[in-house]
Amino acid sequence: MEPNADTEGEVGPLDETALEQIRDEFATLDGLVIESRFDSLLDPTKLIVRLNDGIGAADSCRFDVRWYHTGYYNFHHTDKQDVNF
Amino acid sequence: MTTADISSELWEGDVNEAAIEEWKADTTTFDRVRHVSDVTTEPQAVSTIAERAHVSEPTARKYLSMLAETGRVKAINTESKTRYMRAPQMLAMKRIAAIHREHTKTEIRNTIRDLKIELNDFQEQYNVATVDELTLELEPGDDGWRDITRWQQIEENLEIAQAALSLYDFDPDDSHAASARVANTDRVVRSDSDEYGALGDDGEQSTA
Repeated sequence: MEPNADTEGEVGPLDETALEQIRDEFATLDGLVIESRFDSLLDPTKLIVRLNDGIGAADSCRFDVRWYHTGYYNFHHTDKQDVNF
Repeated sequence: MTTADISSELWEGDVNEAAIEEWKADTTTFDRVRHVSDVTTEPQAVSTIAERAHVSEPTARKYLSMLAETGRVKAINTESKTRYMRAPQMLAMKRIAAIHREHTKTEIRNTIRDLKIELNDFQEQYNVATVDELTLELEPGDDGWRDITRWQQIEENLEIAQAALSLYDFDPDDSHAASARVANTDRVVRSDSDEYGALGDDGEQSTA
């Protein structure tokens, strides 16, 4: 499965089942997860995971995760220190 | 000097290898086959799924045929061998049940309306009726691919939302209608007793 940040071809719809597995995987980070949820149950576009720790001075961070049917995916990290990737 | 000290303490393993080892330690072979088959969106050979799940081929074959029996995976028989992929209906049912549990009829109706509006906007913007037509028109690198993904997403969510809405009419436990029915029955019984007095027919009341 090739990583791809930009949608440049057909990636298919969002794969909620894969995202649920990712959510379960995040949940194994004991005590670190503040919340992990879909932005919407009826019209999900991403999985949002907020962690109670971050990189360097950041005390929390957030991942927006998208995973598509064809295996393309996208993890977007943000925190209060403006570390953005 | 200190740099050398630090680097000698640095872990030099392969992070992918380590993740696989940890995965194998934390899961059973069945867990892994199920995890892999749940995200298999195209038919794949048993050997491919076995490799991805880090189990032996006979183990993968055994569990895949079990999962196929429960309806969780779909077996596709070709002349030479059986291929497996996840069963979309089974996974859609999980989402439908969750939506039915957590959203009201009005919320689902509103979502269906919004999704239909968004779909119409795409049809007008690109002047095509279906997402497949648009797929044929686009060149690699075009901006429209993002909209293709969104369009496919809308269609899937629409189907799910419509199925969740129709579940309100198919409610085996009658959980939603229960309180309404109790109130209703009260009223019916009273009007029956008005008309028929003490001789009100039990059979007729139960059909009310």
